[in-house]
Amino acid sequence: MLVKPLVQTQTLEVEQIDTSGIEDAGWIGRVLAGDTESFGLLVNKYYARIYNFIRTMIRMDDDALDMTQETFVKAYKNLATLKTPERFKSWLFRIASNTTLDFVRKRKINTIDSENTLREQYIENENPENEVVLANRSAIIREALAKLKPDQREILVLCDLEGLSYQEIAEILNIPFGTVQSRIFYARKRLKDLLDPLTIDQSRSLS
Amino acid sequence: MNLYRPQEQQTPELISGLLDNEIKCQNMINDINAKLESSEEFKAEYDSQLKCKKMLQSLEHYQPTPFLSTRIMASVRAEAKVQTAKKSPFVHWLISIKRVTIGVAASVALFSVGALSYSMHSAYTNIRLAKSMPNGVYKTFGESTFDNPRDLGATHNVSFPVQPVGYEVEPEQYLIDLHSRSEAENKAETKKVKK
Repeated sequence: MLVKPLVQTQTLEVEQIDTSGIEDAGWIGRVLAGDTESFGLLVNKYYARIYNFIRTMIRMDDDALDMTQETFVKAYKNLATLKTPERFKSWLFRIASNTTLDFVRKRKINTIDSENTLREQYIENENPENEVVLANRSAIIREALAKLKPDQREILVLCDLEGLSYQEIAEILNIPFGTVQSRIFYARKRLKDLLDPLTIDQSRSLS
Repeated sequence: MNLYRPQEQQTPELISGLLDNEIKCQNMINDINAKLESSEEFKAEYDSQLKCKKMLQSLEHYQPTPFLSTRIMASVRAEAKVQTAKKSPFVHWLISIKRVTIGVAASVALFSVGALSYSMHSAYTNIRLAKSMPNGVYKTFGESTFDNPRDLGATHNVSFPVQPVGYEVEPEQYLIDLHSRSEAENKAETKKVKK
């Protein structure tokens, strides 16, 4: 009884990936045959997602633009080495992930600010009359996301923001399927811990 | 009981027993799942995980500037040009010439280092030899009278090594005097020279 729905879900996901992957593979074939402009189709399809992923990871706009560009140029340079063009999306995200982590390591970006910053920010902006409450709520969630370890943040962005399947994430991060599940579990748990004080404050202010 | 016999050799009792076991196991798993899912702890955890997921999904995506795709394609075109240029025969020729030049330069540099270390070693040996020689045998570095210190007695250019300062006799006469005098006389002579 428990097995059936899981199998159905997985089949649906695989079908979706295949359709998109076949389209990508066709464009890649044309690029490899010498039609550079076909790469533009791949760029148009993925640049916003790659930018969003990198931007969420490093939270610096200019650097995110540069790294998105770097990711695509790297992909173009190494396109001939891609063994399964159907999996271009996972491959591209993997390049983006590696580029971002290299950047984070080189610059030693400090994402762990003081724990109280979030709470203070929230209390200041919790007035329901304020028009920017929703925007601030997003900012707070992003702030909490930034406080996670890079690997936890990365996996949550890939899973919940980008909506990639566990299987795709496993391919991108080159980790086993089970590790993806457990890492997502612990990442969400940590995010919940970071956001919990805010939730308590919110309920108090409402009562 | 051999469970791995071909199916036709397995008895119906064995097959039914295996099926029973499988059903029992499935039931146990179902029970555990049901208990887990009904527990408060599981529900709380599931809710919080779901809440986190929804919160993240509610976030708006960052939107890059529309010029980003143009910028990326400009870089890609530049890269394509570089790759095309690399494939031209002239560039291949240039690359091979460059490789040969680097190879020759590396060999010359290696040879120079070898020659330099050899000459340094020779110079060091000469200096050590000069220091161990009596005064005058090696007047200056590079003007050595002898290749082998054992040939010392076979030359006429040797200045006498132990001639005291102020003793104005020929070296041979000095030696004769030294041996013919008694010990007390020699000591007195030395004192006199020191004064």
